[in-house]
Amino acid sequence: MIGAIARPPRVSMVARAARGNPLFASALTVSVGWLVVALAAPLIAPASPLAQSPDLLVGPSAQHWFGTDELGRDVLSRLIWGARVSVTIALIVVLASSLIGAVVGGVAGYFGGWVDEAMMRFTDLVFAFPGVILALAVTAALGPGLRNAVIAVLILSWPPYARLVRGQVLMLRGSEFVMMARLRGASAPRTLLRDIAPNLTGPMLVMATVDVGEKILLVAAISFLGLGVQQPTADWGSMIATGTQYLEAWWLPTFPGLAIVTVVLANNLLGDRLRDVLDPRGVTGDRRPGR
Amino acid sequence: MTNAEKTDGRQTDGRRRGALPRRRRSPISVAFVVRRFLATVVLCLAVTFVVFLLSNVIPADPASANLGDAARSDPEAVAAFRAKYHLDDGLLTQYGEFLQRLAHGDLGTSIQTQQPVLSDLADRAPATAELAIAAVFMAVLVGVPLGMVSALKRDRPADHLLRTVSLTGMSVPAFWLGLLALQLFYYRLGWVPGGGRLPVGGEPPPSVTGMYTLDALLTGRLGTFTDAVHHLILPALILATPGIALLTRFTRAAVLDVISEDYVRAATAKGLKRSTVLRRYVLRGATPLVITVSGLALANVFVASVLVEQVFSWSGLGSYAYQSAVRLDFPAVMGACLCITLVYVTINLVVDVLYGVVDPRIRVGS
Repeated sequence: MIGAIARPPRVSMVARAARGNPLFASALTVSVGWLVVALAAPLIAPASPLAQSPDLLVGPSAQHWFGTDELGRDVLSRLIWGARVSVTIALIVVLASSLIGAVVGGVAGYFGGWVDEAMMRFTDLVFAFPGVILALAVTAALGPGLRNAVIAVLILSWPPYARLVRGQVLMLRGSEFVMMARLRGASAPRTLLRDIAPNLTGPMLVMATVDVGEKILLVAAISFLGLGVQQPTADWGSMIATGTQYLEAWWLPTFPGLAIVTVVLANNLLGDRLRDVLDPRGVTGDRRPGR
Repeated sequence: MTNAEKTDGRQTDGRRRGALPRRRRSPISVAFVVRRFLATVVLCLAVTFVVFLLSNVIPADPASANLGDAARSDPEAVAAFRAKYHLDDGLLTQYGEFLQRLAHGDLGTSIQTQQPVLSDLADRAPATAELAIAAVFMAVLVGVPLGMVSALKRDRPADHLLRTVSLTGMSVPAFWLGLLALQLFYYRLGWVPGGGRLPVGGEPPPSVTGMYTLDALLTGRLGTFTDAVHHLILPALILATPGIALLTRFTRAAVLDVISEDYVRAATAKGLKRSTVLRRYVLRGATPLVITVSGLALANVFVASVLVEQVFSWSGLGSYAYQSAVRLDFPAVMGACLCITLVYVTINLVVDVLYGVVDPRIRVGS
């Protein structure tokens, strides 16, 4: 039993995953790179994302590397500021939904019985909703906007974590070290937090890594539909949406789309490789399909 | 939230029924089908209730979104609007009424089109069905062979390339790809028409199924058929992209799973040709998973249509849902979401049941 338990991830394990694997190393670079871009946006961006200029819809040039949009705003600057929105939302959503999922799954798995039954049936119910459709309904109902888009995405995002954690807790509940803790007189919350939780960090990290990419895609889709981030805030999804109106300006949708692809692909690659290292039993399963 | 996710979840969850291969499972039972069916009904009710609940706890006001400026400042006009669409009734009363009308096939009247939502949906469903079927057809036609190649060339350059490409395919937003394709193939190269289902002013074929390609063939209008196919190819291919990536990955996994089975080794050992082994043993063994994943891809295509139809001005369910949502046309949003979700969960139900039917191991096991 002990041998089957995943070890908590260590920095050294990530380093091991990176060594001799250039694909992983470059994916890590891209992923961390976008995080840095998001953090340092005001320092990197050549111009304000909102500053308008008389150069409307000008193609890429020395002055505007990625061209300008229909209001003469610098696409590169908007792209860099857009990273802030996308990366922040994705991180918040993933953090919050993994916490909610961990609580639901942990409680369900540890206590079992009708608690488990009720919680997991509810999880199934939420799970079965098609994401974009519910997000569409939620944002349409609550009114378009970033906050409501995040709420919509949050409502939908926790079930996979709940399932993962529940499965793991069910498996670990009967193991010797958990029984030892219980015999020592540790309370249920203490056992869950101190003895079981550290064993979940590996699979959770794998799932969260891929999920960050998924959530960037989903938020971009919602913003593309005009229901998420609103003008004039710079955002990748709504920048692509602008491109639908100006087919002649290929640079409008191309660059924000490439930004999405690079960050999502990097996280997918990271997740794949981390799974090999942190989750050898494959409890997080194959990655999810596109929408 | 997507489907293979569900199958993933099930792997970690020993007590639930999964859509992915299980070595031993009891034969498909009536109880299982009934339970899945009931779960589907509960889910559909939940969908109506959630959408309904949301539309009533709203800061956004449908009256002001749908009335003109003059009418909006006229309290009487606003009150009349609210009364017409029952916006002032109690929550449960409204929901009860909604369900009752639903039972009679009445989804309300769209604020936008002033048509019954059901007839709007019926008008647009064939367009989405046509697109979705074409997309899944393409996904299977391309994804399955690619997956087989990837598995048979395991760990060789071709495999690495295909795995990277399929992972990229899953990381690309379909609506973006659609836009770029439109820009390139329509705007720059002029190879494909720029959206819609037929050329501007083109007369749709007499309606039999509502799917233009099929109708044109049935009524023998070859010109219209060619036009319709031209308009269909690009959006279908774009919608197929995630499905192609998905099928490549899962076919690869399924083939690798089967290829190491004893019966495949036995077939090779008794001297059958490699192509025969592949066709008769490997591909057949991988079929249940391929069918399952194709079903999941079909369900996902319906959902993705909301994003992609808009790009191609394809007047199907997806663009209807989108246009209704931005106009806060609640009856229409509710109807469209209900309709797409219904299709989605029904396909999932069929896939789950079908999986039990096509998996030969179940028949052998019983």
